[in-house]
Amino acid sequence: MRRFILWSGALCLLALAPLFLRSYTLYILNMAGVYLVATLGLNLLTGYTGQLSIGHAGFLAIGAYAGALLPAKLAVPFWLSIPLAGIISGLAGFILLIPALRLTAIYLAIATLGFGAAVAEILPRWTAVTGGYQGMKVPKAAFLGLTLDSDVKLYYLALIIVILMILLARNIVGSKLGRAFVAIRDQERAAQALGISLTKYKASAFFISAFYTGIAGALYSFVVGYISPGEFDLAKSLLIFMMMALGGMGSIPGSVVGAVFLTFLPHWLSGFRGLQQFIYGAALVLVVIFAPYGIWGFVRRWTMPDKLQRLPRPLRAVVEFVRG
Amino acid sequence: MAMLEVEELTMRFGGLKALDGLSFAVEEGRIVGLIGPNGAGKTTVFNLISRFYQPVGGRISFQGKDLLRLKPHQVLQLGIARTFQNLGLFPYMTVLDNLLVGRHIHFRTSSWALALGLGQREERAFRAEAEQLLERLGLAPLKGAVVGFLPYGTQKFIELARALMARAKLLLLDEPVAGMNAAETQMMGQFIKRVRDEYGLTVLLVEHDMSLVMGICERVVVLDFGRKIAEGTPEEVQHNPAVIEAYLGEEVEVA
Amino acid sequence: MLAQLIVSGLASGSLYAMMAIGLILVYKTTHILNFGYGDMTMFSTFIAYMLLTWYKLPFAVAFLGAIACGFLLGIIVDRGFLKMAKNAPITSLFIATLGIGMILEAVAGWVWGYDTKPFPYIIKGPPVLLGSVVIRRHDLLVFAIAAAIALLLFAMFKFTDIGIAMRATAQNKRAARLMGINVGQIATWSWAIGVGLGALAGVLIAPIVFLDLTRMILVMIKAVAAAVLGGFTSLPGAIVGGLLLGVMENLTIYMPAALAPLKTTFVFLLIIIVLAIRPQGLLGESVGRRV
Ligand SMILES: Nc1ncnc2c1ncn2[C@@H]1O[C@H](COP(=O)(O)OP(=O)(O)O)[C@@H](O)[C@H]1O
Ligand SMILES: [Mg+2]
Repeated sequence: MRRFILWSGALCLLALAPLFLRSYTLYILNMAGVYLVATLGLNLLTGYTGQLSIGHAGFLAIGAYAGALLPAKLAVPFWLSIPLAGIISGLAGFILLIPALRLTAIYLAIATLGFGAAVAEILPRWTAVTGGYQGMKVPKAAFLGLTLDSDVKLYYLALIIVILMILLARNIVGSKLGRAFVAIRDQERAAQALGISLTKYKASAFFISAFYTGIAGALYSFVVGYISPGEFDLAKSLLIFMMMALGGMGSIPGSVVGAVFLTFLPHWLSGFRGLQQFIYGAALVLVVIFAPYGIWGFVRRWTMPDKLQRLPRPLRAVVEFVRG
Repeated sequence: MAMLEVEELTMRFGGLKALDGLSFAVEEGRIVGLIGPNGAGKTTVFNLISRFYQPVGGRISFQGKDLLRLKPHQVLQLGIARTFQNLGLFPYMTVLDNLLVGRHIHFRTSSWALALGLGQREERAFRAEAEQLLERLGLAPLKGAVVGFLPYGTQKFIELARALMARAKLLLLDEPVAGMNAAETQMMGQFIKRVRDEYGLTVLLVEHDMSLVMGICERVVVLDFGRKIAEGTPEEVQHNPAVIEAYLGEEVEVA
Repeated sequence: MLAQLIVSGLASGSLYAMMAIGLILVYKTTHILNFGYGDMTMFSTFIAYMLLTWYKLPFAVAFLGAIACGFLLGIIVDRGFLKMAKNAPITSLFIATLGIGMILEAVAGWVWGYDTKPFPYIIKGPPVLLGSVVIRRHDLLVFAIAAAIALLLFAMFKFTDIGIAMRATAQNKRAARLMGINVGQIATWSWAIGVGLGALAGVLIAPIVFLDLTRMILVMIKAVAAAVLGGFTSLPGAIVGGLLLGVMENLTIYMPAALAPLKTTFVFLLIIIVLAIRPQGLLGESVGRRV
């Protein structure tokens, strides 16, 4: 009950936020929403399933271009274009499955890096469709005769998508799907011996992760209104990675915190002219030093009493079973 | 026909012949011990049954079905569950979640439905079952604990409980009492016997600890350098000169 | 033509290899992927630039200055930052190296400005002709230095206490500790030598690609690719991987014109194919674990 009140309160606050906030702040919040969804996607793959990726900007790009091109070129209605962008990106995720079935750790990371580089290289060359290096204007999202032409309207779109995606992630993580992911991450052999197919679940993880990031990309294109290939570079992939790792790997609230924190940080720093990059770098280092398991791990350490301290002696318990 | 039949199984790692024409069978309902000095090839037998390695030659069949045609994740579907010598638990999961992974193949709800939040009833039912099992083991207070932080002996019990959750017919246990003291060992032995009776299981047990093997096994297969050197009841094996020599050799090595 | 492409590919490949070795040294003893490496290299190279063009010092001094700077940077990064976060998972430490890179970039921007700077060649003069192959003098220098470094490292790992301790640490940290090796100190040495090597490579790369705040990051990415190609755990692998990558890059010229703009994609595709066949890289140790 207390939780329910807490969550409804938070939801009300979020729903009413446009009343208090400047349009510019809303725009940043929308971007935070974009990155939050992408970070959730990466976290499901890297944090939960243990498959490193430093090429997720590739999926963000695929989602962004799909989200923009489907309505622009194929007149797909906007409400359909966002999930479709996710699915297209998700299918692209299978490209990485092939190396992922063979490679681990840093070798897989380099394959994903290559994927990101490939997308960044192909997009601008495909001039006829993508508009090349100059990029393209994204048509305004419209829904039931309502044109999402302001940051406030886009804010509600982002809010709905974020909430849906968080709920979806919760379901995945809390089900046999999420457990299979973690099982693969921590003990591949034991997972297999328990009937978990590496191919099937790695494929699921890549699809889901790319799906999330594709949705984020589509949302990105509508929030920004103009996309160009240069935005989806290695730096963007690393940014999503940092949001995941600094927020908290293998944690949904961690993804929220990490994405929001790193989206806002540059804006908080905009007052320090010439110092931004320095402080940004220092902030990363400080977070790693003081919150090695991510910001969420840090919060948890102070808010959750350590259950493990109060463990009963286990053997006494086993005795009872054996004696019947 | 025996439940598990291993015939002429041969396995090589580079130049090393880890198994050399090994044959043995496990009858349904028995607790069979697979013993031998360190490096004899016991774990390799398990890993071959789990299909982690491809043998150089030989056959493994389970209830008449050719095991070597399966992929690792299909072995449990036939009814073979296992534990690992160095623990195969998922250390960052809770005890309860570890047990639920044991139930993985029995979930009927599709992944799509799960993503939409459906299938809660099934999840709850299995959860209740897992809690019941923990309760019976007296480990219920630990259900929310993260497994990796628990004492080694407890983890061994939890891994066994997870294998039980899989509703398998044959249980492969790789050194279930390694690192346990005498009291714990005895408890584990009784536990294995009890679950065998209650769940109607068949058990193939790799163990170093002779007291456990002699205490609960009905038949024993002895390996040395990948070859079977003896087979029989615990008493027979105990007095077999070849076995004594193999184990003596080991003690000399240790000393 | 082909020979020409191969030789110049080998030259840039030697530079990738040198940087790749720096990455691997750190990775082997600490398991950290040093993604701040590009910035550390950039910073050290700027030191050389400053000594050369501001203070008009001779090349040898600038060279040593850059290496010393890299060496020091490595020690500072390890002792000053990473050791403070010693319980952090490697993914976090990876991010810390990115953060350190950003700090260095910011400082370099203040001190040396944001524009691209030409960097002088160490030796000038007409290229050398070897049959029909034209070799720049600079490339000859690169070959010589790369070979010297390879020999030096080989000798270090074979004969010196630090080298042997490094190998032991890379193989098994716990066993090394039991043998009385100060693993923390070995990590610091790896950082120092690794970043120092980057500095050395940087001074040799800068005349070719020029010097600015971010260019070295691109070189680092290639070094990462070379290291992975060779099998991230093997120094000879890094050399083979670096040389191969350099040559492969040059040979992309033979690609059909329509595909030419997709050079990077193509190189990565090749790397992925190699890895698909040999998941542990060309000379890497098998990653298969026992159950
Ligand atoms: N994956 C592997 N790669 C190489 N050698 C192995 C591997 N697994 C086991 N071996 C070798 O095979 C032999 C048998 O090992 P194992 O089956 O683990 O013995 P046991 O379980 O009886 O102690 C040992 O010599 C061991 O070193
Ligand atoms: Mg064994």
